[in-house]
Amino acid sequence: MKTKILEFVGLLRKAGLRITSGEVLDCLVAIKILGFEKETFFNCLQTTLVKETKDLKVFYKIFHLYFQDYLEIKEINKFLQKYPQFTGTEKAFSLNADRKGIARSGVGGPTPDLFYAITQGEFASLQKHIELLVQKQMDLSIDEAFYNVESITRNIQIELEWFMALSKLERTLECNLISLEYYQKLLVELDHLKEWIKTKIEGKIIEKYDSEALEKIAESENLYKKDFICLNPNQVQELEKRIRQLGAKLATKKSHRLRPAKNGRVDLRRVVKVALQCGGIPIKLKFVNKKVCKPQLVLLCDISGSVAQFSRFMLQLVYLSQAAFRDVKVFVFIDHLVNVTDLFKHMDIDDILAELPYLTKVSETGYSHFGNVFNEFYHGFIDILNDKTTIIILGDARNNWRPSGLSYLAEMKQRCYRLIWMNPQPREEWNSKDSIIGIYEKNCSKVFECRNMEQLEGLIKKIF
Amino acid sequence: MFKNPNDVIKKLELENYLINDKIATSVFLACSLNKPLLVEGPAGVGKTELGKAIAHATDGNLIRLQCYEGLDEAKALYEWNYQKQLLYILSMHKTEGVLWKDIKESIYEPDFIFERPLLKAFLSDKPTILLIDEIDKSDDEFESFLLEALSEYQISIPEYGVIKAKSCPFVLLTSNNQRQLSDALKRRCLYLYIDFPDIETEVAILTLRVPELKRELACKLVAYVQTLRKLDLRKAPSIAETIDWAKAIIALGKDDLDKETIQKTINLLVKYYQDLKKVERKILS
Repeated sequence: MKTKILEFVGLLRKAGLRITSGEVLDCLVAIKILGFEKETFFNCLQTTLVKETKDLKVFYKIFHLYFQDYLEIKEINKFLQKYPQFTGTEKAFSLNADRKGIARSGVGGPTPDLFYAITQGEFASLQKHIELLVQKQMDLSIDEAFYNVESITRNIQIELEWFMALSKLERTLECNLISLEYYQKLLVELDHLKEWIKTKIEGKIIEKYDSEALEKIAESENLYKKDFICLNPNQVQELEKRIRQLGAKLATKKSHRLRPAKNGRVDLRRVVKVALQCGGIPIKLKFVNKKVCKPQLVLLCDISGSVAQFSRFMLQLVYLSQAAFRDVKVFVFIDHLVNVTDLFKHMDIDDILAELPYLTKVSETGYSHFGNVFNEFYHGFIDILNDKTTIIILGDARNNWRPSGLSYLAEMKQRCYRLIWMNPQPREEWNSKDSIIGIYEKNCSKVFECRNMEQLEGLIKKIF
Repeated sequence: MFKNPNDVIKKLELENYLINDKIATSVFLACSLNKPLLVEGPAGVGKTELGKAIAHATDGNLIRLQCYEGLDEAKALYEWNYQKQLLYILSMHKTEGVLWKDIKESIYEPDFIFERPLLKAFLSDKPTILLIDEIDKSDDEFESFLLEALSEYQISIPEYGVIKAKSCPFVLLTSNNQRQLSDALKRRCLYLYIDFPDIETEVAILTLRVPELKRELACKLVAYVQTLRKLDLRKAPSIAETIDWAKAIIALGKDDLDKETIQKTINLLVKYYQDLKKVERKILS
């Protein structure tokens, strides 16, 4: 069992959980105390190995996949190797579907009514039907299934007419045909059913790819190392929580300058001054402590396609840490520059982000044009720069073979304290095709690759 | 302290604090392994109450340290009584035959130390439950001060030496996840996440805390609160607020939940104007 636990810890580490040897030891001691009873075993592992809320979901998933699906499948395979006459049993699971998606459910036979099933508690036939749907989806896309569990789940939901059932449920509540309490219970049932579908899909992947699948699934759960562009909506939501924490941290970051404070280092000069009132006896101590630093920031965010998600994170971060800066100016662009600083001052961040796609002024052609953006900045806003300003540009420098506007960027660099470029494109793709980051690099203080949360966090620490 | 997880459930139930197996296992393991327990979860799910309930259930001494921005070791661990040291130096200075060397050594004795909550917990003769509340509100530096105390159950005072705990206190840290805690701190703790309870548990909590409330009404209240929690409000109503709401409805003499009562009392559950608008738009209308 020790080996299995260590193997499991290995998977968790691949999924981004930072587990030390000490924590593994705690886990083994905890299991020794409480034993292997299923529920207790799960609780022991969770309480000793997971230390962050965001990791809980990953832990549940990997635990379920490893200790239930993976080990169970291994046991079944062992059994089948020993008794090959039983290998035919899987055929009973074969499909009736036409595999063209023409039939209503695609798997033959009528689709069980989801609304009826959940309100009447008729889950048996529904589950059987879902298993067939999962099999059908996996037949269609098993090779891409590693990274598409969410979309496969959604496809199955659509085939089950899930959202129609949900709306029917809401209407039933509105017409007072069911109580609010019962409605809540049904929603919980639906959540469970959705999770069950997901685990079925993952079970199928593991069945086919064995431990390789487990590792890939674990890796795909590592939010911190996942490219911004590959994040699904749930993962974006999870990272937004981290962005909020990062923003709060940035807003209270301290500089090396000191100021009078209630605690900290003794300020001898003030102690002596106050001591004069007490006949020279330093009866009261006075202190100095570090002051919150406030740099000036100008942020230029490319909000076109591939960079959009990263820009949204950065905008959130800057919005939440506005207090950390003496002055913040925020611009967004695609092929034209738009100053959104006022929105930052008067609107909620969710509203600002919702507004971004509707800023028609940022885009004329829909393709990035850095040269024009730098030109517009130079002619419209160059005066806001001074020797204390940090400029951060977020973009992939893919200029669509248009003029680079390098002279304007050089002038911007001249006028500010430092100019930092964050590029969400993989480093190996820099300077290929229409990427001209190499040309811009000469006029930047520093260019960083910033494709995922891990890199973003590291950069924030470096820059501020 | 506790014999097994079931014992935790039973003892805490006697203190009117209902828990599930998961919480019981974490509390039991924290006691057995002598490790601090870091409890996270939304505001108002009963994290602080858990500490209080454990203290009552084990007849222990509860010492609470409320964290805030700017909290330092002088407020949490110990502080030298500077004025007393000064007086001592002045009084001894005039005594004949006393050398400065002797005075210098004697002013750094425990007599001149102000004991703050952490040191108090370590020096207590009674079994102690140390509740470090809302650790996420303190600064990074404060977390570093805690590291030695939480792993070795000792405090190093540079001028005096090491003070070891007389008996290891049960340490419970709570956090609302406002900022990420350091890996070093998390590594030293066991972890427990308390989420909002399911309908049945919340009804049980409500009927336990407000005994005059009928079960039927309790079910309706809880169903309503659970619906609000699904609305993605800026601040979801907590268990504590559900209890307050139930008390308010009892105080108003209502024995059923109608639209008018909800409208009159919704401010007990929803605490932001935007949230109120959202609730009015989506549910009350």
